[in-house]
Amino acid sequence: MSKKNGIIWLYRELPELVRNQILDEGAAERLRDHYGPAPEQRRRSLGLVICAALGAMLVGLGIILLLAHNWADLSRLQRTLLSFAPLLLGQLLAGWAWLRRRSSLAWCEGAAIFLFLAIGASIALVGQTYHISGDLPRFVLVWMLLGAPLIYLLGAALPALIYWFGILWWCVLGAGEDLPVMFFWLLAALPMPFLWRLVMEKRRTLAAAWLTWGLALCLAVGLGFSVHDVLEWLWAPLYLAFFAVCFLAAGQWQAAAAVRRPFRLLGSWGTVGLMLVLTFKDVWRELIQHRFYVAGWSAWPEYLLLGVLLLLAIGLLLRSMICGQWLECLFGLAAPGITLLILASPKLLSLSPVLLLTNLYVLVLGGAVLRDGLHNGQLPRINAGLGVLSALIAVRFFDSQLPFTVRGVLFILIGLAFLAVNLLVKRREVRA
Amino acid sequence: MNKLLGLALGLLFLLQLAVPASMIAGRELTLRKGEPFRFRTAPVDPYDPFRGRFVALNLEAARAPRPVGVELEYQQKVFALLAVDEEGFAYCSGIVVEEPVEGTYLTARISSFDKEQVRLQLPFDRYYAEEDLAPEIERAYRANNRRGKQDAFIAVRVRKGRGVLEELYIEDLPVAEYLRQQAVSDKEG
Repeated sequence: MSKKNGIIWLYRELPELVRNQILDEGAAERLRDHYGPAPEQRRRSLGLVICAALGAMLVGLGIILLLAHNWADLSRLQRTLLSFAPLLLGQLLAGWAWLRRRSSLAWCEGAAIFLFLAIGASIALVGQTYHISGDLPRFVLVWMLLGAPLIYLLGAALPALIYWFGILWWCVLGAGEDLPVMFFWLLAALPMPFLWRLVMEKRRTLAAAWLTWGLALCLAVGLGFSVHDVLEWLWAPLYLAFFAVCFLAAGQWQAAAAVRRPFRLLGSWGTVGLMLVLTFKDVWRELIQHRFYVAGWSAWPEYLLLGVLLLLAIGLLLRSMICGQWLECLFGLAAPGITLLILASPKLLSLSPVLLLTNLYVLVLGGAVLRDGLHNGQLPRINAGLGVLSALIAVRFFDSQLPFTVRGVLFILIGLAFLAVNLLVKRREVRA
Repeated sequence: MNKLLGLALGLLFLLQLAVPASMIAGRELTLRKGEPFRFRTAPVDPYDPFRGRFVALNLEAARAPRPVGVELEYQQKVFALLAVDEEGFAYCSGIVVEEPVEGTYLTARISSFDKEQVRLQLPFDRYYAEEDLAPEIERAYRANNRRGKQDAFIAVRVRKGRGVLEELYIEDLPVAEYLRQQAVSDKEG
């Protein structure tokens, strides 16, 4: 029970306690003085915010669909006037919410979402009226930029989520049309101070958690599309460095667990997944064949991004080492390690020791997670460790020449080990 | 602080209004003062999640001869010089990289090129129509096309490099009118 819920519970119990003469009125009063005024009941207002946001989103999307029908009977003048209708309505709502209901989250979120969608509807309707050719990336970018300030001015969290996915969409579309998609990083940074403030002030944890989920997913996908030209050569060090930064930074961040979780999960599973891919011989053959500086000077923004991510990852890794967080260090080692292996000349290092090293790394990582889980008695972590180990064995046995019978027996043994460990831990929990 | 925030919100609202307003103003000016042209086209029906159904226009004039001795790039901005053939339809007589001082031209982007020809993305490549109408238009055009006639064209106004589509015609009739007549003759037939 959180402290807030505890106080609410205590205040509900106090009259009963006084009535049964367990506490006298004076003690009850002193308790009330000590804990201060009763905290607000959060559930109802949260429900209201979600309803308002959802309602505004549905109405806004409905308006976009209605306008997309393209009413043939309307004249050009009528359409032109109609183009401004959703926008003006949204602005009126947002203005009113700002003036009169600034303390109400439900009003601010709802109005901001509605106005955000109305901007898109208006521009789209003008485009439709004048048969403007389909520059979708530009449309999305203008729309997002016109909506982004609402995040700050109305203090609304959901528009930030819309904005991040919109910017990601622009990046995906732009990658296909050779637009300068490296600006994705600059654009994605716009709502970050807002999120930072929410997290630091420890307010609206649920909204902050949602935003970090959105941000983590957007950055992970956007990373690939923003460097699409050189992704073929840079994917391994780039994504490993990104996952390491996510994992280590979230680990050292003084924030609520719910807010850190998205980056922790993305960072850890991303590292494990990529390292598993890097245990394949063919993948390494490709990586070593095209050295990653092959793209040349023209790709300097991509190299700069890689450099920044790698430096950040190494810095965070050093900090974890100083703090003696060994599991963190193990995760953080992947990015600089793989970069060094790729940079090392193939004459210096042949393929076999590289493969041995990567396999060994995943093995040690899985073992360390499992050990940590057993040590702390955390079932999810135990399963994660076992999952990593069995995934490693599974991929090895898919690309090796071992007969089916041997593979079959090994799989059965892994499965039994899974079940046995889970059973043991559950028993230990029950006994404790 | 409060006043400053209010001012910022007001400015944002103005900016939000200014974007569609400027889009409208530029196009209205072209429609009112621009020079009229007709472009032969073939319409095909696709779909846009925000702006609804439209017919994509496959314009014959989107091809131009490649200029000699000029380096070209994909997506490069160029100016397509407009001329009119004997039948009264517009075509691109050539492209230049510098904005022309006189003559009628369209701002366009290069979508592909080979040794002899350049394919252009012209500023009008789609005609938005009501949901049920767009597929009808494509069907009507195909039927018309099979009879050996290729009478679909668009009327466009051009001014200072900008082209704005006025209307799509099939057999010299605005497309909505053409579909109405077709429906009547189908009923009678």
